[in-house]
Amino acid sequence: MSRICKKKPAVCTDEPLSNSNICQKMALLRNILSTAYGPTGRLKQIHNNVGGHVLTTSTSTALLKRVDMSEPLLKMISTAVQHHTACYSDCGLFMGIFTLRLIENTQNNGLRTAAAAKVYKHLVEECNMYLKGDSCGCKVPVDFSNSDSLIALARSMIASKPACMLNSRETKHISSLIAQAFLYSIHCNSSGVSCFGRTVTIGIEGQSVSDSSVFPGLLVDVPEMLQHADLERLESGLFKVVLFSVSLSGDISEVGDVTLEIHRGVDPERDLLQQLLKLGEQVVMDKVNLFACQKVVHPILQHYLRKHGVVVIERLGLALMEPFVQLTGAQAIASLCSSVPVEAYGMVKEFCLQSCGSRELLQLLPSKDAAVSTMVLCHRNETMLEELKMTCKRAEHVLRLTLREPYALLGGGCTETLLATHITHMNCSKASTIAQALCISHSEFIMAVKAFCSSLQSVALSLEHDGQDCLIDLTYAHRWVPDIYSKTCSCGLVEDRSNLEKTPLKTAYHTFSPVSLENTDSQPRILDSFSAKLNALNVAVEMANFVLDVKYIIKDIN
Amino acid sequence: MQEECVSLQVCVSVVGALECVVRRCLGPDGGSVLFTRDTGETLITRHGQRVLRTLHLQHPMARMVLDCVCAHAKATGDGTKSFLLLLAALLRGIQDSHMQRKGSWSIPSLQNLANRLLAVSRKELEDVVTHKITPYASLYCSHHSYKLEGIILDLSISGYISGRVGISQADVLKRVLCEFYHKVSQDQNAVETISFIHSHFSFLHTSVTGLPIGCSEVIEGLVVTCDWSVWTEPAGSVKALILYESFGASFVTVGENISVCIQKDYLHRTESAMKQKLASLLDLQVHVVLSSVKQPESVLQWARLNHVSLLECVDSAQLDFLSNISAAETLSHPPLQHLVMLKYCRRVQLSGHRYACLGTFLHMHTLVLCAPAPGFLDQIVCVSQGVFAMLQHLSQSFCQTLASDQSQSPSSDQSQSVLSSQDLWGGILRAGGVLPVGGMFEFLLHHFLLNERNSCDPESCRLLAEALLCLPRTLYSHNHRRFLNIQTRFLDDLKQWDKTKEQRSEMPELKFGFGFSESSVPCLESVSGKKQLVVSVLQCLHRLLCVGAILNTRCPLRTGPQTHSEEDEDEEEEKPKHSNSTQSTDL
Repeated sequence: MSRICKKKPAVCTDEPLSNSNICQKMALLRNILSTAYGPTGRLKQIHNNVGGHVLTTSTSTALLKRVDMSEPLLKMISTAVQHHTACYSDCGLFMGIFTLRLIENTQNNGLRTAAAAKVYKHLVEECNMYLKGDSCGCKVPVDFSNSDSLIALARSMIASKPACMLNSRETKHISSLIAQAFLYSIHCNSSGVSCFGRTVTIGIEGQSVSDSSVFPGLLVDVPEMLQHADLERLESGLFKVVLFSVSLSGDISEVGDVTLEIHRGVDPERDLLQQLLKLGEQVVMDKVNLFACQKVVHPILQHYLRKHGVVVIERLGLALMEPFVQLTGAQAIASLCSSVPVEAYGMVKEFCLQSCGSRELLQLLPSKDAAVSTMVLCHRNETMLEELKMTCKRAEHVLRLTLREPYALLGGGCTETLLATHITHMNCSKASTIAQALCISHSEFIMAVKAFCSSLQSVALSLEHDGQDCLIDLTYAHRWVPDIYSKTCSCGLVEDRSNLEKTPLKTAYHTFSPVSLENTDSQPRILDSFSAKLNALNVAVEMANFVLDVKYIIKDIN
Repeated sequence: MQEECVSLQVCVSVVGALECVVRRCLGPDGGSVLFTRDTGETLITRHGQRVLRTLHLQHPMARMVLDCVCAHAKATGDGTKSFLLLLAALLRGIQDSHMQRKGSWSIPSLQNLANRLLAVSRKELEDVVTHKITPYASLYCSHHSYKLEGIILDLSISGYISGRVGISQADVLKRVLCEFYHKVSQDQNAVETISFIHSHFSFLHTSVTGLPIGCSEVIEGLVVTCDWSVWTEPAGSVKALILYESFGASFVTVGENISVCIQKDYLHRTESAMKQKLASLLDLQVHVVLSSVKQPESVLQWARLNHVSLLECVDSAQLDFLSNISAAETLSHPPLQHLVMLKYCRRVQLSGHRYACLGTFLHMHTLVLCAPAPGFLDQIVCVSQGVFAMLQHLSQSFCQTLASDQSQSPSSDQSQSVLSSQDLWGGILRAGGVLPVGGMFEFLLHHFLLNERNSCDPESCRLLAEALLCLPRTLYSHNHRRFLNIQTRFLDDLKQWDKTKEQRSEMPELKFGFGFSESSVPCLESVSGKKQLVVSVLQCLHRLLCVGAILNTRCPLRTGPQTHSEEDEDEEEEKPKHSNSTQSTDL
């Protein structure tokens, strides 16, 4: 009989957004995110109070993955940000701050949610149209004939991750490495549909960042039994490669956890070893120079192969299998018994030893155009190295996104201020007609536009953490920081001149249409990913609408 | 055994509590409800039935109401929130009239009232709907046919969606659902298409997180949510093999206590057995293998060498579906293997994941639904599924009336005509099967019930008519003046309509319905669904009012077949509620 226990009634929250407790938690999350935003963002240290690993980071992915939210609405926002960064690798903090600001502003202005949702939807469509259109002033095309814009994109991404602890020289070095690795990963003479190549990342701890570099081909650990003499003995030219994905250890492990019953006179281990040696014989006969295996190779087989001048790489690991296949063109062999088919052999042009910092690695170079490269990243300690590895991986992804949409947005908060100015200008003149079309009152419309634009501006404001003012100029609507040394705006596109009128952000100023800059020689220094920011903007508005829509929370505490 | 007396007061408070939860979700201006559990599960919904099901209802009366709601929703796929609002309004109406009389309702008199209301639903309601509302709807639609022609499907879909997702997502979702319907139907039989989509919806959609809803799209072919393990671009149509078991000998599936006997040459034997199996595949000229389980590494190697594409870990229900729709040929010798012809195989990329896409010869399309976060996505998927349930109800009720019309006229041929998409929607339009949303049905019914001359029970009619107005009132709760505006305008229109009908002069333009938003065409909802709603509510009310007492027992209740009455077929465990007043006095 089942135990009868009285169910506890569910805890209901009516109008959760007007609940002060929830609002407070929301403000806290917004504070965490906005203080971590940008190049001068403050680092966050996450640790468990029972001890263990301490993480220092300022990226949204690392931060939100480890911070557990108690409030279901915040949990939703956090998951949405994580899903966005999983797809686009960038602009996670932007999305989080913008969503939370939009919710707060709507709530503070006392807007009716259905009306606010309609207006936000309308505005985000207008933003999309503006950003995708030709007359957009905050978008620059990515020039693939020249690596400057690629490096600028990569550099702004790394610079906005202060937990990597890089100085400006190191930042420059790493961003050029990322651009280099990205260029390696594109097939040179591909026709039609093709996949990206692979970039394998190896981290080395305790070395200075300037030792990091990118190598074409694949770098693997030097096998224990390999000696320099073995490599010297190899002549130059193409080398034949065979790759096994099955374990060649000679154990009967495949069967699983069962009782074995063995007939008299049968020795399965010896049979297996003989089979392995037979395989070795065939490989030697086929003049194979490199014998690679994902798992363990039996020492006797290794010895036999080495005696015949074959280089053996064992314990390659699953992660390296795919790049290895791409590099050599070999097909992974999964059975011991049949002979190796001719089509399964691959080729390597060269292999040599490379020393990267403290480690010796064996470099394999492809025989034909295979877009595989290895990035060796060095950093002083483990935490920073982890952050650097993750940042580099993301930066490369962001560069790949430019192939789909070859644009970049102005960074440094200029896109936000420009967009806000444009939206205000566009909607103030036609307010009454649009409000009527959306079936809402004129004042509701004006208030919602104001809430939207001030949320965008708050994101630009969040870039500043040292208590300095943020300014906006009244001609181009770029963001400025009062700095005697800097002669340009935050993104570096507009140069300062004496008659440029500026006013602090979020103060009242007349609406104007931003003038787009033409015939300028200056290049923006800071660029953001176009695809990532566009998606972040859309998803943020949708999330805000969605959270505003929640009118009732029922918490089952059984 | 405890006895608990049930009074009208209890009914009102129980239904009122339920109403309180769902009234926030009503209409396009409503909000959604978020449920959370300590296990971390979250559910966000505006769907009335889901809200009620997720609440763990304790009170037996509430559970009975829930059963009625579910039965109604199963029939029409729509109107659960209105159900509760109307029920609560009716109960309050009864209570108020009792206050006015200053006399107490005895249980028999309540029962009597319930019976009378039920009678109203059988007679007056039927009359009003068939003779007054349907002609009105038909007239209305014919007046605006130039605007409605061709987009009636879109309008009914948006009528359904607008109460279930946020206002900003409704257009996007409507657009993609209509596109999906049109692509799947391809001017085939509309009724069949709808029921096909409705019954196989789980295979015909794929969900993607991390993107805005605007990225939702319709993709040709059947999308399978896993990537090819071995991929070679096949040219043109290919033969595919569907597998449900692994090629390799696996001991894990057999059980734990087994022993393996190793003989001489065991290595070669297992190897050659596998080889034989694989060679037989090549004889069949198979270029694609779809497997519901993981295959051993050697099969992958074989596939790579022989340029066969291999897809592993496919949902076996989806494979069944594929073999059903594309007339699979079942192989005789190895069991559980099917051969199908595929038009093409592709790889599609959806937000960073690569999925397989199979083209069948039947025009198959997959609906890709995107949303920023999983809970949100769930809501959208659920709504999309509900749309097709609603459409199925709409098309089927139309077919039923069509069939009954045909049987009445002997001249019509007996062959079941195949309705094309245009025929079906045009037919529904002309027959007056739809009305604009936003309280039009309620206004009409209210008006006609009050003015029914030859009604035998004016008191019940008035009760029902007053309660009906609560729906539009809640719909415009944020703007009460709007409600009054709409009501007066409607009454003016109606008077004009009556006048012209008597004089048989030219029809004036009926402006009603367009008053909601001057520029756009209103969304539509089904008249039969609405009628069913009123009937279901009155039936539920009848059941509620007939309960005299609740007996709490400890022993499990078993209702044998002999105790089944015609009304409680779906009520296996709810016996005590049915003990009506006479029974309770016996105990």
